Amino acid sequence: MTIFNFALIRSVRSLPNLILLLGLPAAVVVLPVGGWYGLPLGYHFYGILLLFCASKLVHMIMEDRKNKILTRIGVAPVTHFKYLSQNLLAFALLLVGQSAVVTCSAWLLHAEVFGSLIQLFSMFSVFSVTAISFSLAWCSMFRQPESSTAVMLGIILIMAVLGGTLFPIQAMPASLQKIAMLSPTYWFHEGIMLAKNGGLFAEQLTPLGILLLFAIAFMLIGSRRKLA
Amino acid sequence: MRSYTDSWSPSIAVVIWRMFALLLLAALWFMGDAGTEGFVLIFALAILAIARWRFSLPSWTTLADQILCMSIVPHWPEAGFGLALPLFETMLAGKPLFSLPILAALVIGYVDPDLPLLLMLVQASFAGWIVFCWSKQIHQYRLEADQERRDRYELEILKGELLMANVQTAQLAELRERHRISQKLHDEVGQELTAALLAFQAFETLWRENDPQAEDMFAQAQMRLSSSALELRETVHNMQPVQAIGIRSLEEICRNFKAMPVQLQIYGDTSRIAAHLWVILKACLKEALTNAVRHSKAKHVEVSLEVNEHIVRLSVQNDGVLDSSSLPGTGLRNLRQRAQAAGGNISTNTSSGFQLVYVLPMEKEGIR
Repeated sequence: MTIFNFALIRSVRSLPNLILLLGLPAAVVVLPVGGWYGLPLGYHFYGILLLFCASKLVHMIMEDRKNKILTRIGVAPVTHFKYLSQNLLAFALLLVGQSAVVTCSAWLLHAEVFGSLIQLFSMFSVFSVTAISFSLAWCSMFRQPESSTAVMLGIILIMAVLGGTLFPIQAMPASLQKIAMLSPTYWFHEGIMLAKNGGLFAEQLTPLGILLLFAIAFMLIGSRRKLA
Repeated sequence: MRSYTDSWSPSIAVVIWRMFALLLLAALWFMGDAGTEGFVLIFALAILAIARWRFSLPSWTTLADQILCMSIVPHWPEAGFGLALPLFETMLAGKPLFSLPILAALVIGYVDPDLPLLLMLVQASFAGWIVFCWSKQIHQYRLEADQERRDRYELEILKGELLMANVQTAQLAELRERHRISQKLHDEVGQELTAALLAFQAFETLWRENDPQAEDMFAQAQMRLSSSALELRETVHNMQPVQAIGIRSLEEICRNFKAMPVQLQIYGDTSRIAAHLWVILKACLKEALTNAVRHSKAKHVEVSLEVNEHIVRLSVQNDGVLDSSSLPGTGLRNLRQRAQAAGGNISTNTSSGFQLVYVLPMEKEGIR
């Protein structure tokens, strides 16, 4: 698990990463309840934060590709599957840990808002995995990290719009609501609302399952080995 | 020049077809009133299509596609259009039997067989079959091209070995001749000369003693000497080749060429040219003379052979008119190959008539 350990250390070594991983969530959880869904504002935008964190972490793989480290690993006795899986596991662990901290803060600070914290935590964790897979698929389509980041900001914005972060989904026309189903943030929002209402866990299975399908699809696209 | 048809390949066609099928299904879902089930079905079919693009899944996995579609059909009738994807995949793999469940579902009415659906399914199977045949053909052509290339490489290696064998044969023949000559000289001429010498020594002794046998001894010695001279002449005579070799062969070729007058000029010591080079030079001369008759309507041919210590240069010039539309023929190509195999070069000059110049190195550096 050398690569796993190294990926963990590399992620927390740089200051921007630390701010993104620890500082921003800490700022986010203390925001008060607001908006049109009755959610704490921080949790309203947490999906977007997870997308940004995932993209920052996965860009480390892209840096590896750019610095020809991937070529060197290619001739080492390490399969690409091992390299990728250990890296992604490290990133997932970091984001799930972050989600756990955020969920605990919800329990401490906003206990009256959320009906089921378990559903909240499971939704956060699965969405972290989906976000990491999405970043992986995105990065596999680009050569330079800079151009990838630039376009990704636009895509995240669109996903935020479709996910009901910037204005309510019900305000969108019916056709656009159907198109919104294509965005993982839509299903993330569904899951958060179900967690807020605190119903049966079985209801959570639909958005969780669809988010996992998204993760599988993005993983299939992004796991091709590209050395250049 | 690459045309757009060169960038087509079966895999690109398959990807485009799959995308269109999924888009059609998505459009049907978008315009209809199906809910989350339709979305999940399209998503699952898309994931299976991506997995097939990424890996090569076995054909029985299309059964998973079919089960998914048929389970959603009660909730969303247009899910039947999703059956086009597994049908396409089974035809693409050349295993149409895996699509029997689709046929069964249509026959028993589980999936409503209305016209648009049937058309879509027929189109899917046709497209799959076409791409299957296309990729099989390409594979076949590639195998054939590979085999031909392999044969050609072997043939070229064989040619090189043949030319090498020529050199070795010449060397071997030289060694054998040397051996034969040394044996003959030792066995016959050498023995007779030694006997003659002994007889002369005996005669000298007898002659000083004024022995009457001295005259006999002298006659004997003389006989031995004349018989050894005879043996030597015969051995030498046996070594004379009946067939013209070397420069005589070139002279014979020029003499036997009756179509037009050939003027042969020789510069340098032609005896230094190795035997395998003579073979190549003869072939070149014959080809050049044939070309002069066949193509250029020449009246007069000048052949010059120059030998120095580094190269031998054969030049065949005719004063004919070269047909400009004639392509370089196999004869010249063969000559070029032989020249290159021997480390030499061939060049043509069409400034006045047609001149063929053949240059071969004299050193026995072997085949390049």
